[in-house]
Amino acid sequence: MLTFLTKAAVAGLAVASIGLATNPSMANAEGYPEKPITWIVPDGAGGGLDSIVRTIYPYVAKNLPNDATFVLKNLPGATQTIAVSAVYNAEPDGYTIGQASVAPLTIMPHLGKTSYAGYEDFELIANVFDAAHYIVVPGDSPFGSLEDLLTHAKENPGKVRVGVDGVFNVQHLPLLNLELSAEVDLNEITYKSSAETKKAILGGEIEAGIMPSHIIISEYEAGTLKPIVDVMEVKPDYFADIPSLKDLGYTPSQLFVGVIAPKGTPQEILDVLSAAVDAALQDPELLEALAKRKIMVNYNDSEAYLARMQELDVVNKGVLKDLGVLK
Amino acid sequence: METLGHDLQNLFTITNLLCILLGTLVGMVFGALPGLGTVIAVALLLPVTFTLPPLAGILMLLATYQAGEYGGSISAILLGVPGTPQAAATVIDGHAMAMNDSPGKALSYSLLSSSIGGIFGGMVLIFVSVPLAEFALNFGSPEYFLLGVIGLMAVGLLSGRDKVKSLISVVLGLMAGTVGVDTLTGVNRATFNQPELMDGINLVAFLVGMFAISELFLMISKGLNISYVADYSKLKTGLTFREIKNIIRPTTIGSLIGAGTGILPGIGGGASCWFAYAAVSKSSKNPESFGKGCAEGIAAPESSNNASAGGALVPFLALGIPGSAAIAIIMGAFIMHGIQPGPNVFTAERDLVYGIFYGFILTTVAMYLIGRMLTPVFARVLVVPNSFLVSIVMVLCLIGIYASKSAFFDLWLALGIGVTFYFLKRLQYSVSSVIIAYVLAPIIEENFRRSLTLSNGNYGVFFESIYSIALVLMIVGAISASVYGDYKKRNNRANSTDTDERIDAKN
Amino acid sequence: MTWRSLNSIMSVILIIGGLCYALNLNHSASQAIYFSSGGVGPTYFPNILTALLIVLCVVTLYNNFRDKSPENTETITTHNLWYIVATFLLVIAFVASWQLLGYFYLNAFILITVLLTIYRMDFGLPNSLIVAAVTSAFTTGFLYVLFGKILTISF
Repeated sequence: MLTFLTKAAVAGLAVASIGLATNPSMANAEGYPEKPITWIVPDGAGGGLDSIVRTIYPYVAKNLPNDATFVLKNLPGATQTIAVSAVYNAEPDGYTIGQASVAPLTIMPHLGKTSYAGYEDFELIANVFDAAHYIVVPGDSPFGSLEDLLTHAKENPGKVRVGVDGVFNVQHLPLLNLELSAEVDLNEITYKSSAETKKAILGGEIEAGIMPSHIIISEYEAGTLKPIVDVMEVKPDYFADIPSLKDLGYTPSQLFVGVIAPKGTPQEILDVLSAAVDAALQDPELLEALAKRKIMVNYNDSEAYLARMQELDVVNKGVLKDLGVLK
Repeated sequence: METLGHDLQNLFTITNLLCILLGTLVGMVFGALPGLGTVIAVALLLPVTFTLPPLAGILMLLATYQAGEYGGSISAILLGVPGTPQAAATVIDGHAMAMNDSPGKALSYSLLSSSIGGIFGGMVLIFVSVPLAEFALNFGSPEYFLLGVIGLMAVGLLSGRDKVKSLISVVLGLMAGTVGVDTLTGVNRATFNQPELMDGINLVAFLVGMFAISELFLMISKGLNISYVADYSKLKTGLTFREIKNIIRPTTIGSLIGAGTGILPGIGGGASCWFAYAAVSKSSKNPESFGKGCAEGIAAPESSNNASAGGALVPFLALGIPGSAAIAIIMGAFIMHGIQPGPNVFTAERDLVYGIFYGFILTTVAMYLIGRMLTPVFARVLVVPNSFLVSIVMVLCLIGIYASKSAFFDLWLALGIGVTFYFLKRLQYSVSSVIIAYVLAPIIEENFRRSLTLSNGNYGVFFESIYSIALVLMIVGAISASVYGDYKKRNNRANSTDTDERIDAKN
Repeated sequence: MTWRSLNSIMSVILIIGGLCYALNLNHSASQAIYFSSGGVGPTYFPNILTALLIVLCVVTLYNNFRDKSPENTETITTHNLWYIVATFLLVIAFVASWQLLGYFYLNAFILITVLLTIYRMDFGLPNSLIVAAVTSAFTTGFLYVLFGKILTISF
């Protein structure tokens, strides 16, 4: 408890001092931007998130004043915390923004693996898209629903094996939370990527696994894989019939990816950027390109984005506390 | 026949052919530049494919992938610096042949066996992809662990004079392979609070440091204003019929092993080249010629890494499981066009899939033709004095490391590794053993521990399936064969006067 | 320095490196909370490896200590030693300047020019400087066109 309190206190102080330091220099956004804006991408060139940002950024640039241009900088690694730390350390002048998922903002800081204290250390500009992750079983599995799986798991504690790609991440925490709230003991098996989890389910090595919705569409149609429950809050239209954890009365998790800026970036500039993201995400051309790739566009302005982040942070902290990771 | 005609008509369009040519050129050049490699080449071309029709874009990336696998051997042979991890095994005999005999010939061997491997991979793809993909699913975590162990045993074949030092090299490689966040528990292992180390030691920085930077220092010692090759006749690239006949056996073995490991997602070309090298040198009629520049030692790894490229497409297309980093990026091109690889792709996107099948063969042909034209040019690199080579290659290496992750940390790391390995190389430690252990460490450790988690701690998991039993038998067989071999050798040695050892010591 | 002493120094460095590796690893593992994976935890293999490394290095030290053959007690000669040292220092300066100041292409141009000038000093300063600058300009130009223009990567 003590460590957490001190951490929070330090974070509070840091936030306060940054606030003091930047308040007088509140420039107005007129003339912004005067030079290219660096957009930090927490993914290697050619990766999934990288190609999404590469699709989106020209449309954001188009909706910014003064012929704005972006320079993309790829900083992959360490569950996005390298990129998010780079945003944290950047000048809050509106010329550095970054893409970030929820793990580096609401999980990694609590594990003590980051230089920043949490999402509070950033300006949240706008959310861009959501992702759905499903608990998936093989097509011929005896489990037709989450209830089946949980009932079986209750009778055979530690025997039902569920694959996730990594520990203490957006897949692992919801699974642990489900185990706690449903009072079952599953055997979590960790893989390196969703591709490995998929291979393990298809090969019969595990009984179920958690996987992102877009990589199982083809198998779902062919009947080789069967998604039984959405562990995130938002559902894609192609799996509209499949219940989510929320529908079944459990606490859902969330996975959303947005744009952040260093703490203390002038409000006017944040408003300009948020409006540009909003306008870009209404462009039919961009929407079509994203729809083709099964991206669930979900614009949230900074307030809504912040509210969701706060809500998720409470959930994640709760799980980590229950597990004894966070004291 | 009608459908074949239709498929070929789809394939032979100007756009497709131009895209294949462009991809081949980029792949070969990037593959040949140390540090850049296949993954970066494919990643950089990915945005270009957004504007192309699906087939053309995908073929361009496949051509890049395919040509990169051969390109990696160019610098491996000429400079002793593998351009890609998949070409690390080619250094041993390729570089030796380039130094002692003929760089032109070494490159020709590599190109020819790469092309045959590529065609073989393409054939596997066309004829047996669906059944093979389903077969590959039988290989789970216990089988992967056992495969990793078999791979590690190959190190025994590479060991130099000093057995203890080769063992130390293996241990160092395994230790390097464990650095980073532990996949199974999330524990930071030997990361020394560096976020850049959380995903492990960057493979590019590691490879460039130990092979390239240390090699450049050694080149300075060899003399700056001399060039490797003064005799232009050594640059000749032609092979005689008899020379081609020599590499039929290693190429066949290499292609089979390459395609076999390629279909197993996560093992990939980096390990397959060593499997092939070990298998061919073990079964060769003159195993003592390996390591001294023998053609078989080039043909085996080179055919295997190209065959694994075709093999890796099998689980990708049939199951939607990308088996390597490059394929994962190529998957991006599919998704970009709204195509979902997986069981339905063969019916839903029939034209595209068959276009890819035949196009894949075409990329191999393009690789051969362009390689044939460029090989003499590449071989000429060795006519350039070392002073130019060292300074330019140094900068290229540093760019390559930075381009992979934009992390300055990796540059410092590579410099540190480079200096350390400069000394280790001079003290006769085995660089090849380090790299093979590094590649296999996560395969062995993670799958071992995951298997035990799957079975709740029961070791019987390694004897459950027929495949794991077969692999265990292979390991036992190999160990007993080598123990028996040692025993026989010792008996012979006791009989003859210790001539072997004296020759050994002299070398 | 003789081969014998270099060999010993290297073994000692490897032992120290192995110990640092094990200490850091066991320290972070002791602080983390993780779930048991069938009895084989994250430190199991690394600790075995460290022990193996230390044993093997001690064996090397012992063998080396006993080996008094002329090859082993001979002084190490490194041809062009000062060129190697100079190259290493220049590369360090290059990376530091690139990291701290930026201007990748300018730094790359200077590095290649200086390296080549030093390497080709035998041909006389004017000759080597001109050749170096021209080569360097071409190389840097090629890199700029390839990375900066065609692939739009910013260094």
